[in-house]
Amino acid sequence: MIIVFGFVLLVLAGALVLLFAMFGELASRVGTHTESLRNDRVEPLEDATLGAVPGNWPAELAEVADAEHALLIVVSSSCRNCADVMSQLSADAATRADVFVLVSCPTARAGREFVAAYETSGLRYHIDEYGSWVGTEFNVHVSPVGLVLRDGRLDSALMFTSVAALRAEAGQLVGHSS
Amino acid sequence: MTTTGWVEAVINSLAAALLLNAGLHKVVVPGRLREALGELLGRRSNFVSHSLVRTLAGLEIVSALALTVAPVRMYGAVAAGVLGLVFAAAGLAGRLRRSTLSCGCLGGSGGRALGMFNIVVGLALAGVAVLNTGVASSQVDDGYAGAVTLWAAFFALMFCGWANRRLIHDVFRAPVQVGSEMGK
Repeated sequence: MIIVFGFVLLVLAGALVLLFAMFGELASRVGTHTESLRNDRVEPLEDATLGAVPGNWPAELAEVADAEHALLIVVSSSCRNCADVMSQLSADAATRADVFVLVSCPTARAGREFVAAYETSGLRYHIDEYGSWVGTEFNVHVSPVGLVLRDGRLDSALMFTSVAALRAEAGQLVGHSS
Repeated sequence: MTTTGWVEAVINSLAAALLLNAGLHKVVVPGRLREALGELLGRRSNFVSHSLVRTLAGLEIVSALALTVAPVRMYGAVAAGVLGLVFAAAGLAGRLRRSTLSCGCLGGSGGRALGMFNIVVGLALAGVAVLNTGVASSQVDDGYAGAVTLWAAFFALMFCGWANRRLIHDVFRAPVQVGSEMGK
């Protein structure tokens, strides 16, 4: 009798494990409450040093330096909107392949853990400890920010919450300046 | 049951619960492990499909169930040991290659990549195989299956709760204030 009871309990426990696995997967696909913070507003970041050309580029961002046009998204491991930005990138493989991401964080480990929490296959990213590189080269100290670069030169810096809105705005800027 | 039999039952139920969690999670979410292995193996990862991950998950579940049935527990233990060595090898490779992608291993919904955790758990499972085949060759009575299934169910719930603690925390957390701040 106790064997039957044990197996029934084991099956129930297994069903609960399955339920949690599905719940976790669902949560990762539909995003979280942070989506409610998202809007289509895109504003220029006044403090950024437009026209700056970095003297040295991190190896992971070497392609940005050579690209005619590139969109570099600056996120931080400690900002709530950035987590939502990463969720948006997780859900869109095409955008992931198109943009570059710079993760500003206190330690490389924290940066890796932040990135690892999302689907990042195909994403080209660089972990910038303390945001020192992006701060020094472009005077960017807030996030999330989209940096529009032309031949490695900073054309514009845009504050945003929606990646789609940022890409649309960046596309317009590139179109106007071409 | 003898004291050795009880110890064997507890350890086998722990191993069964661990494998059950890992297997059932992989059945639902095979993509995470596939991507983590893809990062690890690079171009050689073409053979790692969702079906392969689900087959591995099936082996884990069968091993877990075998551990709970006295006559076949030895086979279950050997399978658990082999799987443990595979986990440990994957963890070692992940650590050496500094894997960053979350593997969703052992039912975890967090961001843990292949690494030291997998090595430790893998070697522990290998230890279960050694215990069953070497040390605990004692005969177990009818109480074994009942005890192991009950404890395995309990441990499976505990592991599941621990692996999904972030998710549970999020569910029970009070709604956050909606704002539109931009900044670090």
